[in-house]
Amino acid sequence: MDALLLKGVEFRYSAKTPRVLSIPVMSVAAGEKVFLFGPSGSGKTTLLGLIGGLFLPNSGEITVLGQSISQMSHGARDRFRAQEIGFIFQVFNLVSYLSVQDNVTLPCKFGRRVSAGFATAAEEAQFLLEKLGVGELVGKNISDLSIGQQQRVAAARALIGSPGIIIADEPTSALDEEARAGFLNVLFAQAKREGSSILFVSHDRGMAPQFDRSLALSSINTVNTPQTTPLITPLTGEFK
Amino acid sequence: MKQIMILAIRSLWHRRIPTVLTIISISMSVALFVGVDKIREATRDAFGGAISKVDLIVGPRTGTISLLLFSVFHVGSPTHNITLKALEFAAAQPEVAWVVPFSLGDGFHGASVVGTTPEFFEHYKYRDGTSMVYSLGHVFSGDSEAVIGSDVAEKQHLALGDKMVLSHGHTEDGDGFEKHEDHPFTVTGVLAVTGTPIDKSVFVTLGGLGEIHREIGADTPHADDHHEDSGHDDPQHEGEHHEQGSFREENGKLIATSVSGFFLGAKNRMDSLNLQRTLNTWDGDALLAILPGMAMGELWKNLSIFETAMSLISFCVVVAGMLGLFVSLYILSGQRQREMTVLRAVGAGPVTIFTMLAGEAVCLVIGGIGVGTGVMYGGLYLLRPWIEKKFSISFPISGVSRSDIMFAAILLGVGCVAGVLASFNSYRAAMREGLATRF
Ligand SMILES: Nc1ncnc2c1ncn2[C@@H]1O[C@H](COP(=O)(O)OP(=O)(O)OP(=O)(O)O)[C@@H](O)[C@H]1O
Ligand SMILES: [Mg+2]
Repeated sequence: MDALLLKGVEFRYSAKTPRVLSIPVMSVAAGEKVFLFGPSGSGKTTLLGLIGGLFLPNSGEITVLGQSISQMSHGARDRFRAQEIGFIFQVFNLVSYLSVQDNVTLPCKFGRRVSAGFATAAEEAQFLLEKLGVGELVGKNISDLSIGQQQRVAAARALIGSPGIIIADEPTSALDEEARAGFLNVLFAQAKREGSSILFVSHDRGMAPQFDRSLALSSINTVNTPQTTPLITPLTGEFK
Repeated sequence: MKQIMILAIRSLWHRRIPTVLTIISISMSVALFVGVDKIREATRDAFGGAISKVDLIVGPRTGTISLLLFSVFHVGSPTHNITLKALEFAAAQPEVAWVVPFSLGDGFHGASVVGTTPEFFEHYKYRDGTSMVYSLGHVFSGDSEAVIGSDVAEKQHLALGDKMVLSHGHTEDGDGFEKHEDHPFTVTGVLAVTGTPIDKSVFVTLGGLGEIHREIGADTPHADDHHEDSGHDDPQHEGEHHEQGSFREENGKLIATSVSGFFLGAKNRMDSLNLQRTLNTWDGDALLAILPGMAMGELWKNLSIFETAMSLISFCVVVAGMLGLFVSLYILSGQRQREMTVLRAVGAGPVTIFTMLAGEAVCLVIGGIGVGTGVMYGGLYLLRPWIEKKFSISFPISGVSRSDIMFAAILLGVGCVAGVLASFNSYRAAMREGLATRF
């Protein structure tokens, strides 16, 4: 079974704006690690939002772990996202007024179940944080963390409860090369343990070989985006 | 639901400084509003409570409000007197239970001197029929005795048995034009605090009042004629236009022949209107009889412009407070964009997000209203003794009335609408923005 399957998906943000995405077909196999890349503004983040069910395509079907997202009720879609999709963003992943532990266990408050072998969400959070090398941070405030530490905490949150898919939107662009390699290693190891698929978006093509497959958005999206050459090298992220 | 509450409270706690500032700004506006309202209520009570159980106030034909003002509040002075014949006429009416004459116009260090009869203390009540009580002593029994209000006793350091010299005429510094050293009065009674103009009054007999004027010569004792103003040749008196009644001498004692007016009690309250008509249409003196309650109502109508302005201003302050809440939430909504995205990504639904944002806003409003009302009541409670002393008005702090609850409900409603509208902005943005990182 594919972890993710898109068929004939079309999307525009509003009637007045041009189409952003038109994807005849796209799939990610269970446990597969996919590296997705494309120029800035081509619609990568938009695609992740669609897969997460934050908004619905204008037409077409998105199936995640065998369930059609567009056929779910609003409530069911939110619960499904909580249970099966782990998100990691570039920066500002965490809720600043919650502790590290509360951030990691946040999905569990919205319906994600704790992985087998753990009695409580706190227990699994501690386990994941230790695996990610930040176990000592569990009681700290988010504002006291470095960006690299924040990204690991975000990874722990994405991984808790073994969701079917981890969706990462440029999670490493704020990290230095060493931290990036370490981050990817633990992310991969944990995802492998839990059998989660990974859909990873980055401008940094250097990381692509570590993934099972590399996917250019332009190869699946039939909407032509203007080929803008970024003025800033993508390493520093997407400061618009 | 519990999760949402916890999130909302954590979020407020995290931003505790702006949260507290917002609550303070709302509470200040609410406190002002409540304060103005309470002060208005208390003033109304204090004014309205200045006279009670008197069915008619009768005086020379002036205006309703001016008669009320000078007879009860000792503001302004009568331009004419009424004859004792009028008093006798009124007392002879079968419906009349009692009449108590009074003469006004003299001052004593800012207090007014009231010439009256001992029955005054029996019949004249204040605040819903409360009788005056003597904190010390008893009523005057002779023409050189005086009963003084609590405020006079305190300010002039007068005690029972002290001698006091009253002056002729009412002036700012209360010293009058001439002092009547020859006729000092002995304090026989000190009244307890009433919170009415009684506290700032000195009561003497009508004859005693006459004694004050005995030495003035030409214009005292006054002729038994209420159109005698032209007879004044003392320019000072001319300008002052005050009358304290007129007197005739009998066996060395002064007997009043005219007075400033009188208070009247009917046997049956229902007869007040009839009596009023009878007195107003009497073909002797030109009399004006007024019903204290109605006159008070008319006075309020005249003051209501001021009141309305006060209310309006305080209402505007509340609106400004709510606008402030709206603005701060609105600005905050931009900053909280990312937090909303994260919450959405971990599975928080629109209802959850909206409930959380609106819940925070409602917490701020409730907090503001609660603190504001609390501070105002607490403050009034603490300041009450001072206010009562300073302005010698009774300052009752009424409990929470239905109108208070209504007002709180309206404020809460307005605040919640402002908060929810502002939150709705963040909510919509959270829904629309998806996952894009925007700074
Ligand atoms: N909330 C939104 N409303 C309207 N248009 C949007 C919104 N978010 C993105 N877009 C538009 O959709 C297009 C794709 O944006 P998206 O953020 O998906 O690009 P991206 O591939 O993630 O780019 P980047 O590499 O810079 O992150 C852009 O043209 C963008 O202007
Ligand atoms: Mg993007």
